[in-house]
Amino acid sequence: MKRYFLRRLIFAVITLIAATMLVFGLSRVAGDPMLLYAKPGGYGMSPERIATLEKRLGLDRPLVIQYFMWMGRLLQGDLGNTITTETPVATLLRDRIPATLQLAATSFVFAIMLGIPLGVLSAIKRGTFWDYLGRSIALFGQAMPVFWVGIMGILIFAVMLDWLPPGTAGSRDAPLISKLQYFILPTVTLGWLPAAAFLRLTRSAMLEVMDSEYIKLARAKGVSDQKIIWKHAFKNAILQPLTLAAITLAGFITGTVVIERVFSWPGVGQLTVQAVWNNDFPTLTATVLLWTLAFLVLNFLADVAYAYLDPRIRLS
Amino acid sequence: MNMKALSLRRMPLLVALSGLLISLAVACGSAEATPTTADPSGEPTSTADPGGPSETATATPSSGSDLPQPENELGVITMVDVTLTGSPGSLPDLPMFPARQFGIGESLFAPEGDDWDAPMLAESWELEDDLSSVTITIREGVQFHGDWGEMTAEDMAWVINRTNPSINPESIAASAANFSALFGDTPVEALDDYTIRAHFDNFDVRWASNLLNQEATGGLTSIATSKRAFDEMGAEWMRANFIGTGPFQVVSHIEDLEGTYEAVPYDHWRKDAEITQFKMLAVPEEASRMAMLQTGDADVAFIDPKNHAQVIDAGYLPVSAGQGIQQGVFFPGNLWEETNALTGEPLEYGTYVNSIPWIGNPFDPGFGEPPDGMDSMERARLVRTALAMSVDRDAIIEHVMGGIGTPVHVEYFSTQNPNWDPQYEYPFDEEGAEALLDEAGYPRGSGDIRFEIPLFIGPELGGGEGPAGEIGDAIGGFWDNLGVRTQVLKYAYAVYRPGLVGRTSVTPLLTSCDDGKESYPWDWPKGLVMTTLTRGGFACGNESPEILEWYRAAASEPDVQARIDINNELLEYMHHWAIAPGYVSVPQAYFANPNSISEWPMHLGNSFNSPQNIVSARQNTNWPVTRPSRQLMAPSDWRHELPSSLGIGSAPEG
Repeated sequence: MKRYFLRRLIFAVITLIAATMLVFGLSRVAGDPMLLYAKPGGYGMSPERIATLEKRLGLDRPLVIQYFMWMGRLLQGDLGNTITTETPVATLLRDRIPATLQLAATSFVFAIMLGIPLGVLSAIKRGTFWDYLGRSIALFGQAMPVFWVGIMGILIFAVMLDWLPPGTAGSRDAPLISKLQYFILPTVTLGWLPAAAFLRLTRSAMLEVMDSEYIKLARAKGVSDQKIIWKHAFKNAILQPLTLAAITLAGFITGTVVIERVFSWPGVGQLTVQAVWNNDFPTLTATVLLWTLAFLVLNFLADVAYAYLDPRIRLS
Repeated sequence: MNMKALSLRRMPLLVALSGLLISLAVACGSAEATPTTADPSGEPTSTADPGGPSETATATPSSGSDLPQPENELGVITMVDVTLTGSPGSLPDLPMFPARQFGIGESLFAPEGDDWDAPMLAESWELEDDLSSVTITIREGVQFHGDWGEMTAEDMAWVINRTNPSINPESIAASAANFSALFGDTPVEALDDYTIRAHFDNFDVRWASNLLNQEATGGLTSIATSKRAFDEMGAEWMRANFIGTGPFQVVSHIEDLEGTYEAVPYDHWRKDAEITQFKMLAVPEEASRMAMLQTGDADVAFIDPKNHAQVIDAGYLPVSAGQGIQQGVFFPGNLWEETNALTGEPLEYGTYVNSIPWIGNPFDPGFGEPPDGMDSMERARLVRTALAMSVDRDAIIEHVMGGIGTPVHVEYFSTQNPNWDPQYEYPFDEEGAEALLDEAGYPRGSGDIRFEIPLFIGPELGGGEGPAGEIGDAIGGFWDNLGVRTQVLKYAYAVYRPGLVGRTSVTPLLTSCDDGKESYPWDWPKGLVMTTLTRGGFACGNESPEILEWYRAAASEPDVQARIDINNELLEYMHHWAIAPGYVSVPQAYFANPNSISEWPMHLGNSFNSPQNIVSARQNTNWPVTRPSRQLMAPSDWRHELPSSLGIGSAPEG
């Protein structure tokens, strides 16, 4: 087991280092970074000014040295400054991460709360109304693009019915409880697709398990339905959804770009889109690294959970 | 979760519980959203001050009975726009957020009525007859926000010098190099507490009407901020804190997200705000902005032109500073200057490697093997002219812009200006355009295609995602009709831009290229960004020695009529060479909920300004306004001392 964890950890660290190299390299592929500092309109930068900036930003050094300088600063928590306004990227991330995490958390809970119970229900009540309901939710959730769901949600629940606010996360100073209404549309929009995935996965896993020999044996022994479903079937069927959950959570953290844009959600996704438009590579590298880190950590946790739940993994 | 506690029969209940939680959250949130009433104490506010800025953007509100009631507290106005970019602080060497538009920052000069260089923080000025320097007297008694005291000449001189990269090489303020060109490395001096003197290195007639103005092109301006705050708190603090002099002060500002600005708690020297708080939210999605306006979550919103008709029909109130953005196509790669105008060094080019139909090579007439009797420059001119003639501008205005907008034929020159001469229109003539392409040696070939052309959508008006993208699609469609297969490119401008800065791009660009603003006076020097003067910085991608000559002549010409004559020559040249054919001008309009705002007078300029002039449509007797009195200054009190012989500062025609 220890060797298994160690192997996964080393793999995660190597992946992270490779990611830093890739991210840093790609940031330089876009062209001479100095050209980004030439501001809109008017006269350009003099050679003296270019030289001053190059020296200050360390761009006069070889690329390899620049990488190690960048890594050195990164390890000290210095993510650099944005190109557009020279604001520390760490400050921007500090402002944005809570909103993204909050939305990811609510969407995750929504997806789990909707997908897994409905998946179980759909499997147990196969061929009934509940099964059709569950499969319909899964079908629509997976078929409809999230931006469309978001815009339709705004149109119906904000504009037509006036039940919910059309966007933003509410006032930053307001207590969380009073901001709940702002979470509903983005949460449902972001969580619907994964809920559908959970539903389908749980349903198929439950159907498979319910058809297995040990369940038939339990039934033959007269074990109650509740016990069969929750103690014997569900515990085994949950393995796949559970491992999916960690990756899904990572997906929530990294996949909020579209949702944050549609709902003007003040998170990392919107920051990233803005950085793309500005070719602001310090911000871009920071957000990409953050996402890479989130994926690696959650993927590692999924591996751990998988090994814990499935003896075949940890013993292999 | 205790699995034993659950039973199969309870499963539907669990699902229902999820729905209940959502309902509860809705109920919980709805209670919070109920508008609250402000403290009933305090005295009522008066209506808009007649001595305030000129009324260029007022309108009579339509009936707002069917429109939403504002969600805000009384006295609070929320505006939603596409972005909220810029540094949150007032450190002069950084590109600031548009504090000047938000009534937070103030400059030496500002437009007023037809006059672009009415004094704002300046009180009077005296220009040397030889145009070598100007002495500016600044206004007394102007207070900085917070406890930073009175603005002095030392503050203003420090701001300009700190912005100027010839003095402060660290400066990356927007268009900072304009100050470098204007003042060189001679610092602006504070002669006494209220007088500064600036020496001109390269005199530009727009020094007051644009470069040191509240509505400066590219965002560079002379926004006053406190040197004492910088000295005591340091640069890092100034990066995050805005110390201005305007009628509003910053409560909070988060880049690209939101800002809250409140009316200063004292009598402002120029204008007390009619509202107590102005909030700004960055909402990039048009559908979301529309929804926020329709639900009352926003009181005023930027709306894409394609939706203007819809919001006007619904009764929303258009408010704008009156600036139309011209959209024309520039053809990068046409680099026709032999030497760098800044350094005098000979130039080398990388854009004449392959023959490209829209690029003419003045250094090698036979480049690209043009037809007999025609050189490379003429051949490319015919192509560009054909591209200019092939587009039905009226159709774009009608079908893409909802009938709102005006045609443009030559960038920088408004067809609505009295100086416009219709002889410079490119007629919509597809047959004529086809004939020109045939003449240029580009017949229809395989698949009826003559050649392929990319068209990049510039960053204005939302870039490829906004109305500019749709206008680009329409232009591309007309070009396709000619057999010129067009690929409209809508990727991030920041990726395209280095090619313009480095002068390596050959991809046509849809843009206004700085000077393509409908309201800019006819006589203003034009075409700076079409010359080598901007090497090391942004350009429209082309460089012309003739444009350089006219630009320099106009920039140093004190007589308005003489500058108009110079620009008429430039117009003829730009029309002949079709180097930047214009297509349409798009109004930058915001729309207000008439239940929130009854009137918002603005001065002429970019997008919007002067939120202090917003007049609420709601009963405002309960506002918590506690100002004891007002001392408002009428424009007639603003002394305007100009050497009349020069004519600089008088309102130019158009």
